[in-house]
Amino acid sequence: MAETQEVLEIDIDGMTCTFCAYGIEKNLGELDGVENVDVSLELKKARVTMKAGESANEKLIREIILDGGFTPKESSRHSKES
Amino acid sequence: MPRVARAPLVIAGLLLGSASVSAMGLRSFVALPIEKGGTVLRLFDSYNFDQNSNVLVTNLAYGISSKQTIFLGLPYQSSSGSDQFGDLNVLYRHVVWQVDDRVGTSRLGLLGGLVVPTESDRDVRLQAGAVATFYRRRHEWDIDALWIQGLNDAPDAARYDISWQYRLTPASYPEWGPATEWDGVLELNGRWIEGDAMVHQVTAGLQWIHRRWVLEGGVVQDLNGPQHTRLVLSTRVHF
Repeated sequence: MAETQEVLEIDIDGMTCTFCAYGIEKNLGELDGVENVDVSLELKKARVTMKAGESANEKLIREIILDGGFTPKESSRHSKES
Repeated sequence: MPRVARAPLVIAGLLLGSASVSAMGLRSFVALPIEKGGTVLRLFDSYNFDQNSNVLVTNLAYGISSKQTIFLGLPYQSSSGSDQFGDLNVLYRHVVWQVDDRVGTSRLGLLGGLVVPTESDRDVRLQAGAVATFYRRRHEWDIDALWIQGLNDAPDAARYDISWQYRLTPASYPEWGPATEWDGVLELNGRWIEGDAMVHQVTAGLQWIHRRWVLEGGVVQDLNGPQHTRLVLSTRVHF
């Protein structure tokens, strides 16, 4: 039976190059409950996919983006089946 | 050590070992944004064809916070008959202004630090300056200037770097996932040490940028003064 995973997508202003984005990609990936992190320099977004049954801690995610030197903006959540 | 004899070491320390991280130009390490707790190691090699001399600078940048970064640089110079370490360059950057938007970022940072001698016959120098970055779509401009105040017998010095980087490829990033990119770099640089005229230089090069590492290189040509030509090669790794 398929399980449901939460996905949080967040817009990031000021994220400009692959090498600079690595820091937030790495730190978001180390958060508890995170299964996968994708970063889009084209869309200026990060997509955080949680493990089944886990919920994204948006406050922590925003802090990591700020600590990375960028500006977190609008976010959205949706579910997908694993 | 007489002032003339130590001048190359001082210049190496100032220009190669001090403030200058893509996002950043070739000749300076101080524009690089680093996340809190992040570390970037850079090895920068400069070969002077006219003097048959080589300077290898080991740079380390550490993010104390998103606004505060420490840069360390230690040059090692090799020339006919003498190999030696230059002075340790310690520089702190505080980002005092930053505006991010969908297509880029603008930042201004203040710089301050020390040049710490590695040999007892050289004197400490203080340094202060600023670095500005403007990033828009495929273009990045980094501008930095630094004044180095010599104490006791140490000579004063100054430097500036104006760097334009243009993303040659890809024209558009993939929708998701990391992208490898090639940037072209064109710079105007200036190096001055007390007692000599400012040497203006032009630097042209390429950067091959990956998710965790960068390979970059270029050619530096003096526009006045000694008219030397140098080949520079560098690699950066993000931990």
